Amino acid sequence: MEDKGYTDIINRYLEGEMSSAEKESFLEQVKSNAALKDELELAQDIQKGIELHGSRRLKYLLQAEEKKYQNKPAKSWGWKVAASFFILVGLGYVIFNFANRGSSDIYSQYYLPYPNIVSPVNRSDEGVRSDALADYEQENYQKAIEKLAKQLQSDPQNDVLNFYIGQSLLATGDADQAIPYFKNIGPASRFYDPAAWYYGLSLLKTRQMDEAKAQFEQIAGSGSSYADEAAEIAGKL
Amino acid sequence: MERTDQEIVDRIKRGDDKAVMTLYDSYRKEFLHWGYNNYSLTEQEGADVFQDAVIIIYKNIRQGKLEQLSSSLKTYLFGIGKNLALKRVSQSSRMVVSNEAVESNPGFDDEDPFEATERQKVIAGMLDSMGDPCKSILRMFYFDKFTMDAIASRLGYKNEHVAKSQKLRCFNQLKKMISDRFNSEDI
Repeated sequence: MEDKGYTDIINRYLEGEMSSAEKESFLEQVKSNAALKDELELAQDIQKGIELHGSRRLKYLLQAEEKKYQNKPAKSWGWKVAASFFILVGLGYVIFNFANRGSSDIYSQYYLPYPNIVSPVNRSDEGVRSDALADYEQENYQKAIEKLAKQLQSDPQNDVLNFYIGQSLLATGDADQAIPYFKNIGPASRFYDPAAWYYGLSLLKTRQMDEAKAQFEQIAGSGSSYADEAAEIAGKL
Repeated sequence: MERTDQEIVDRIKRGDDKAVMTLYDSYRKEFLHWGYNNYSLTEQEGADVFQDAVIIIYKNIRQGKLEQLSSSLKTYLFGIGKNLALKRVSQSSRMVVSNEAVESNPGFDDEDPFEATERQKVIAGMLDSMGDPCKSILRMFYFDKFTMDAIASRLGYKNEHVAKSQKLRCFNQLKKMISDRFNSEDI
């Protein structure tokens, strides 16, 4: 996949900047030049991949919007439920409940399991790992945890293993146990930014509010792609 | 097109990020009822289908494909939704779907935004792990179809030329990540 200086001409073609004569001669070249054809296909896949990323991101935002409806109690019941609470239990208990609900509301509004971005290609030496990630992808979190934990014994610093066991634990609601795995991922890893984000969410879930706030403030001030959302959460805490 | 529809389309064209949520909130309830009544979609399934329909509408507006069309947004949303719902129920073999039942809208791109080859999926995942500004700049250009000028002002670049060369650097960086990955995996 060597770049032979085709980038410019391919971009001009893909971005519709060619005249029809130029386009015709370019397509003739593609037919006879296998390297150019490969490069063009790669550039088209990159564009499609970026579009897919954009669609996934928008889907994520829409799912977050949808959660607002799922969490909202029916209007007509709202007051009655609240009133019964006041009658049945003491005011202190209610306040305690509301305080707790605050953090779990924020958590459920922002939490979504991270997709499996490790190539699903089967290689014999990584068979077990991709097997565990396939379980993760199919939401068989318990199985994934067992398999990943076994592999971590021989490779405790592996960022993929640490990240996805943390993810699986968080997905099963075990935020407490997920925390050390997320903390294990260093800045050199491509999972560093997401791990920092999910570490913050785990702190939120386990109601370590001060630590969560500090963590989200740190993310908000970094160049992380989670910075905007982290700033939103930090503002709510 | 109703006035509010036109407003939503105009806001999306201007790049107002909240407009998509307005679209979602405007038709969600009606769509979910319709999905339940016609295709027995649960609330969750209905919401899932509706989200995909909104993504397709968004892409078409950003690509300038909705300008020539004269029906209301609702007509488009439910038309796309119908195709997506039919696909879903036929996959779960709840209903036999004849080919005629699937409608197509000429001039309108209603392909499933999540249909992709393995290589494209891996590339999408790689972009997730890429930091900013590359992630945003590439997404804004190839997915949101913003002009270089708009990207420059959104991301605080001096002018469109600076933004354009940054985009090219990011594209090449992503390309290198892909080459490294696929060469090392011998695909």
